[in-house]
Amino acid sequence: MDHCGPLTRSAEDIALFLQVIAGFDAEDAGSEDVPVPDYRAALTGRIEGLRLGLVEHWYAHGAHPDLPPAMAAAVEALRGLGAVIEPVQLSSLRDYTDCKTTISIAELYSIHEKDLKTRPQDFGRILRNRVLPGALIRAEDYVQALRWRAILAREQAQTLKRFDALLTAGALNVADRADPDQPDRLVSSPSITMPFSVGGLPALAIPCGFSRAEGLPLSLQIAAAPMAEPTVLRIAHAYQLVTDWHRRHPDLH
Amino acid sequence: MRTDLSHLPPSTPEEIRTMTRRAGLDLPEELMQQFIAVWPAFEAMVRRIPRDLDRASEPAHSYRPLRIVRG
Repeated sequence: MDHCGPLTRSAEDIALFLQVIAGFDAEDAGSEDVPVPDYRAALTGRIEGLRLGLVEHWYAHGAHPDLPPAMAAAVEALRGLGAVIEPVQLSSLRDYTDCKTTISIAELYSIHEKDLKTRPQDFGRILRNRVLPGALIRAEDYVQALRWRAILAREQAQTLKRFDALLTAGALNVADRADPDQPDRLVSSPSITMPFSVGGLPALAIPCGFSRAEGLPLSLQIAAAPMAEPTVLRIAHAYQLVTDWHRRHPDLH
Repeated sequence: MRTDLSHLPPSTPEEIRTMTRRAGLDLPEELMQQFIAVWPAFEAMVRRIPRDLDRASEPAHSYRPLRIVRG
């Protein structure tokens, strides 16, 4: 249920990378047998007239204090390119996180059950403590979460009839230190990358600023209808033509 | 009207131990303590799932044999 995809410096690099790895896989039940578009050709640098829905309520409260202003600046940059941006209301981040987490921990546990029973100490602490709860998910919890997923996904599909893409933050906070003893944020707060996994939508996170205190990247997330990767890439690429956040590096010293 | 299970009290550490054991897990004490610490957050998520959803919302009970035949 998680999103997998390339991690690159720029949207253009993602388009090139995706061109190589995209395509139907008969061995993968989740793979769609549809033509692969020319992703690079979608990078026109032009987004005037595109209708973008801004899901601001997901990050308006409880996020890093530098995130809302960074997002506001990103929205203005996209408006400056001619996009038409309107606020949009979807179900809460908590709803999406509850639904996605229930499904994914049950499925993850079914994948890792044997190893969790025979060598649980070999898992990293955070992963182990995210997967083990799947052992206690009941069948009715899982099925109800699947039903809820369909309802939440339809909500996104209906919204995307009015918009070409959705915008929100790519993370509610800056990156944690690479420390296995850090507490797991999923336990204490909802995740802003989960909603588009629930909907099965293509999503892309790109830098849109740096936090003042930590000097670490903040990010903008763009999602569109299933198979609309070219639209997502087009918006990200246009944004990166007029900003340079993706070329900056945090000062880690 | 409430449609979820969030009104239920959180499981006690002893209940978590029992459920874990019944699931076939025999965790070392240190790992069990960690699990007891995180489970309430996951339990709360599961309990917030609405329970009045129509079974047609997602036909999770359905089996489509043609998908298997077509490979």
